[in-house]
Amino acid sequence: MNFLGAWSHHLPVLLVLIPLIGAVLSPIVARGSRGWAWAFLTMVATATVALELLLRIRSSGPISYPLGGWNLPFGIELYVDLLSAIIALVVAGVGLVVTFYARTSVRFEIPDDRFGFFWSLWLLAITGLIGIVITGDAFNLYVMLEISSLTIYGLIAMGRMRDRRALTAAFNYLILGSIGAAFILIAIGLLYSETGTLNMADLHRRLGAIEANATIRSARAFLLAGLGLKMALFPLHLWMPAAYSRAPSAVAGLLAATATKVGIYMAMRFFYTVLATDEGILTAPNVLILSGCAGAAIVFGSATAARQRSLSLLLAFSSVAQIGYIVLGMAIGHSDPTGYAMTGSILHIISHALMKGGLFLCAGIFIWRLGTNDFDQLAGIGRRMPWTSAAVVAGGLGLIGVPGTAGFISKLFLLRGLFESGHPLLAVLVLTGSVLAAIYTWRFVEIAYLKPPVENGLDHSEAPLGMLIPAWILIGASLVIGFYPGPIIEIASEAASTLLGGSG
Amino acid sequence: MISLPLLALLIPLVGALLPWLLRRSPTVRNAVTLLIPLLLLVTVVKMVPTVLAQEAIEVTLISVGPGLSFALEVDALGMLFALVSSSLWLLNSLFSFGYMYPIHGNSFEGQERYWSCFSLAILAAIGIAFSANLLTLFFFYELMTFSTWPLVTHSKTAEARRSGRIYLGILLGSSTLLLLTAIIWTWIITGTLDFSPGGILASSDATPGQISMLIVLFFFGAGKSAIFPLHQWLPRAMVAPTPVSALLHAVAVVKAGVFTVLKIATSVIGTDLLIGSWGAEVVAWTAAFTILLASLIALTRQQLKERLAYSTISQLNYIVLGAVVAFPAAIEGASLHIAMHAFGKITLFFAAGAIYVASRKTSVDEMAGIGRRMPWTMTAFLIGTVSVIGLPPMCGMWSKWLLAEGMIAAHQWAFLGALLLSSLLSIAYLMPIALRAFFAAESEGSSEHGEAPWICRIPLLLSAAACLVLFLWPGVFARLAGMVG
Repeated sequence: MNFLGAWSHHLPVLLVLIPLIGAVLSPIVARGSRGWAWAFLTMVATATVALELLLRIRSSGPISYPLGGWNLPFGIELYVDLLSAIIALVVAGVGLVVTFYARTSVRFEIPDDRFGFFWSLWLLAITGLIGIVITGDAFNLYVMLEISSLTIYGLIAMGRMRDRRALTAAFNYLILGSIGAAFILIAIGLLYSETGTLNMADLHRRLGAIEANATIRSARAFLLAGLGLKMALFPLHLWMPAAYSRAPSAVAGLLAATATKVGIYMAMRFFYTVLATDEGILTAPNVLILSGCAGAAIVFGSATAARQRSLSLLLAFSSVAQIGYIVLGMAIGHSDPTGYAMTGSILHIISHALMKGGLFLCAGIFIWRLGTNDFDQLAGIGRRMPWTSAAVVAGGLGLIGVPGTAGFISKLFLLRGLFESGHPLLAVLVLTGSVLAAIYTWRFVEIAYLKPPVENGLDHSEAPLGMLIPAWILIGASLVIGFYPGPIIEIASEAASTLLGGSG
Repeated sequence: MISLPLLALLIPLVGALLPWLLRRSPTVRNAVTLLIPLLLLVTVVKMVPTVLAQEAIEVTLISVGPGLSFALEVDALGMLFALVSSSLWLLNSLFSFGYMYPIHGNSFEGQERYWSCFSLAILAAIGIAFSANLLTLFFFYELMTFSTWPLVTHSKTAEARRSGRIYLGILLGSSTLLLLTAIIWTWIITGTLDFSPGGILASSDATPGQISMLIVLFFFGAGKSAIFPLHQWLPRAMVAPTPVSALLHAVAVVKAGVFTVLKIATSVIGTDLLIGSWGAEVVAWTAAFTILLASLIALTRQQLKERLAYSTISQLNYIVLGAVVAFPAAIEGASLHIAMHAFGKITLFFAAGAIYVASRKTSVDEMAGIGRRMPWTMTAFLIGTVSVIGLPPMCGMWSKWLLAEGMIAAHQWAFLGALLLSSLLSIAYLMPIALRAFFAAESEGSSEHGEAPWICRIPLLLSAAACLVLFLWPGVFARLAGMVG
């Protein structure tokens, strides 16, 4: 499958260039409703390249691409291995589906005169997220991180037409996100001062040759805290619920599915390749901190989700918990020689991206119809908007981890990994999280299906297909994986063994 | 040519979709709701000769990964459960017409959901019966929980909502926290989840301590078997319409729980490991305690359906006890009890439903003298009572006989005592209802009413007749039960 011809060995750079050029040209080429068509075409091209890249890496191994032909380690390197390709495809694929959805949703959430601006930010955010994933250079990673962060602050603030509080949410995220990014920058700077290189592979090599000293130790500490903020790992998740629930619906869907996942990717990359020296970053205290925070995230996030009064906030707190699962698998991944924990972690990145992305799109549909998704307005909605409600239930079953959903498959692997590595108590915590997830999912089910409908004079008919189809594509994909998980498991376990192999 | 076990899953799946597709033509839909169970029954029956000939029917649906797959396999125990579920589904669909339409009107609210969820629950029952490994079983086990929740909360009242929460909380909580843990643990120890005769743990190097822990996790994890302290959901589920209580909470759901327990005892743990382990002791004493406790509570309940529910809890734990004592006769008796108790208990529930349709009576006190107004229904009720107590000439006697034989063979005199004492108690809580219906005087000011409509009476007379026929010719059920273990 080589439809790119001579361009095919430029795949890695194309993956960043296409959305970047799309973003820059967007306000110029296309105004008004044509802006969407432009963004959509850009995303189709990006997703195609991401898919092609994944297939290529599966057949012929990781790709190193020196930018501008500069020799490594002096030039900037793009380095794409299986894990990068998986996350890039998740970002591009979910991005494509959500872009389809955004066509309908932005029309009532974004002022008309800001359309060009919106699509430009949108594509830039995706550029940054993909850039983080495929770069092999630590400073380049920081640049891409800032591109994605700054655009995301802007995108969240654009929710102001619907809810003025989007401005404070964006501002809070701006402050906390900038602190996180600054910490990451400090860490990279410290590592640079010790090794004199910014290339990730080179960093890894040189760090292995020197004794860990105070500089390197503080670099690790800054990195842990900075990434914790970016991943929204409990207790550094404070920016997230407001940002997710007040951003424009499409933005919430995109962020929930991809932004924190890219944060987790950075953590995997740094912990398991760059800093994976003999002493490593995953020392006993650090593992304890990470798994402790992850465990607390699972319990606190799920319990708080069960007490929320609106679907968006419920989903956001559920994300806090679900990120806990992923971080848990990553934190103990190195102590599980069978690789089940890490495979489960990667699988959960994929399945959670699909489920939570789809769920936020559904939450957006309710907002589109009712102006809100507070639970008191959703009473009896199951009868009036059956397809949207059914999608929420299907996604919720995935969050619980009911067999037949993608969430079950990833949790099964995670649980086996936790048992294999001798952490039965953490496994009990994960299972408890499932029961709590059942409680918060069933809050919606009871309200939607058992409460009598509210009469508020609003139109309660089913959502237009332009919103319903993308929501069901994501939810449906998670169900398909639930019933036919073979290929995904194979890819994820390959990626996990590459990652674990890197830690020696 | 599509294989029969797969067809047995596809038929109820189609049955779950049709009510929504045919919502504009009720007549066709009604015909279909009877046709689908009939088709399923024929499909299941067609597999009986193969199973009796001890030939394997195996189908791999989806291969998930190394040692993991969704696969079907039909064996004697599965066939027994499938046969009971599918034959009683047919009777129950008929009864549903007779019950739901007089009470809720010819197009009651949520009827698509009602029929559809019923089909899904049967799909889950067949799936559990025919699953070839723990993964498949767990999938259908959870499907059954979720598909029956809308039926429990059918009335949407505050009480139904509360019951629904307890229902889901106990069933999902026990299966997630205990059953899934046990499954993953077994997977790690043995490297496989496939059932194999004699047990997959038997040929592994698991320590006796691990085995005992697993036994406890498995037996309490299958919360549908209503073992103490996980029995609370069953009486609460009685808030559902009576046909739901009859088929699901006397047959399909609860029997799925005890089937799971029996399957795990014979094909995962292995009877050799069960005998003499402390885990089995814990489960056996809890089951015996549940048997007596539920019988005693049943004595105090005045609502007929609630009394029947506690009786079911007690009877289910006969099966749990038989499975965990694990002597051949006990296993055979436990397997047979899945079928024999089902016919008796569904008759009692049908009768309770018929009484409600005809007179709107729900309390035992109000039923004095009702036998003169409803002779057919109350005769069937008497037959069901005798069968559930386990007296001749009704089919319930055979399974209880075998269970007692198993207890004697295992020298478990205390458990034998529990069985016998519980039988006496069941006489005390069931027999007076039937006798007072015929011989006591009606209370003053009771309303004028006659029999329930024929469409209610036919299913309950058929199931009562089955109790008698199966006493005389236990035939295929006895042969299947004899092949288990």
